[in-house]
Amino acid sequence: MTNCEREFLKGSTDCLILSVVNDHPTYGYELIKELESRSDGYFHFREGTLYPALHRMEHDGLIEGKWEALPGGQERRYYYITPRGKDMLARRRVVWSDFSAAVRSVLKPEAG
Amino acid sequence: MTVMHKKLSDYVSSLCGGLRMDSRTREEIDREVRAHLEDHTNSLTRRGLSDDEASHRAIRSFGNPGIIARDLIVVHSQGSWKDAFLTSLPHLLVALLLTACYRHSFVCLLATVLVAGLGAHMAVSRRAPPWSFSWLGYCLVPVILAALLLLNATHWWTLLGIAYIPCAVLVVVYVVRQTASRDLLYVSLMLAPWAVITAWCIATQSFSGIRTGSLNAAGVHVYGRELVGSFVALAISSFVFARIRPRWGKALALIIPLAGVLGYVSLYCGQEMSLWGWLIAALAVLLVSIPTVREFRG
Repeated sequence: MTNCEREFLKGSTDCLILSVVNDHPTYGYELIKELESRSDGYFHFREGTLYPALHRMEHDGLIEGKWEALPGGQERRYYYITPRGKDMLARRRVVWSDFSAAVRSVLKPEAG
Repeated sequence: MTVMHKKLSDYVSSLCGGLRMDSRTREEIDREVRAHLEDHTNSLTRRGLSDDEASHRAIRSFGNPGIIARDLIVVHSQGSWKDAFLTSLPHLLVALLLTACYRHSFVCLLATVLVAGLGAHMAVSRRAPPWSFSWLGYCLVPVILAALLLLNATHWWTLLGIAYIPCAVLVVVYVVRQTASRDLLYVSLMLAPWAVITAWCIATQSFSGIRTGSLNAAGVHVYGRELVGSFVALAISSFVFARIRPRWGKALALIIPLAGVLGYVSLYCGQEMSLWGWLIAALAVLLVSIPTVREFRG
């Protein structure tokens, strides 16, 4: 991953996590796999960096972690989106949509 | 324990061993990281990798434990607004107590005692949360005060002093060491009021009064507003300390008001302070600042 891509990813981490957690509650390892699979392997997180981000978002009240048992009996910390997280995600989606449309229109392929 | 589990366990221990936070949060992080590494390792072994290779890869993709621990510390070092208020509360109570003494207000005194009792109960019942360290500093007051009183003891009190003073020193050293094992910055937070108390005791020449057991409140009446102002400044700095995320910011939040109080006492009470007195006050501020200075050195 280039530095430019890394910077983009850093700025979008919260939005990507909120988006996955909004679809269904999930735990750290599953979240990483989901992000990789949804982006066809493009988003490949350095796994340890995910936890400071998850804990920061929980601290900011965007998500909430709860220990729950898997069918096999092992416990995992599932993250749920909070109403505040839903608001934030909705706002970020609007911003991202406007931003990406604007960037696309500026960077449109040269004609001819 | 298999080689795989030992490797994972060593890695988790190296990550969580560096976490300077309360034991409950540390245990949660330990469980979460361990679960993640086990999931990844199991997934790799299912794909045909050996246990050794799988655990090695899982650890490598998790990243540098020191950097992750540092990021987690930063995240968890920011207290909520409630934590910040509770961190600053003991200093506000002392300011209120001094106001009560200064203005002979029974209501202030009663309010101080009630809130102090409530705060102490909360600190004990919640397994020493970060805000409790600013209360802990004041909990040492009776221990140290009794030692100072026994320094000048006569008759059979001398024997009690000989037995008590080393015990008091041991208690203080134990509390400081326990706090340092949690986080060096909390040592400064805990001892900050002691630097202020020392500076004002020297300025108002109260040490001899304490030692002879004949302390009067004359100093409080002369410098009442300044004393209250010092503890309000300490309350504000503790509030900032609890709320701010970067550790260098926390360190500055503690050092600046202490230097300010020492500067004020030197400038405005200078004629009443001997050089030795000033040096002792400066030494107290320096001792309290050492853990934060070490923080800057990294």
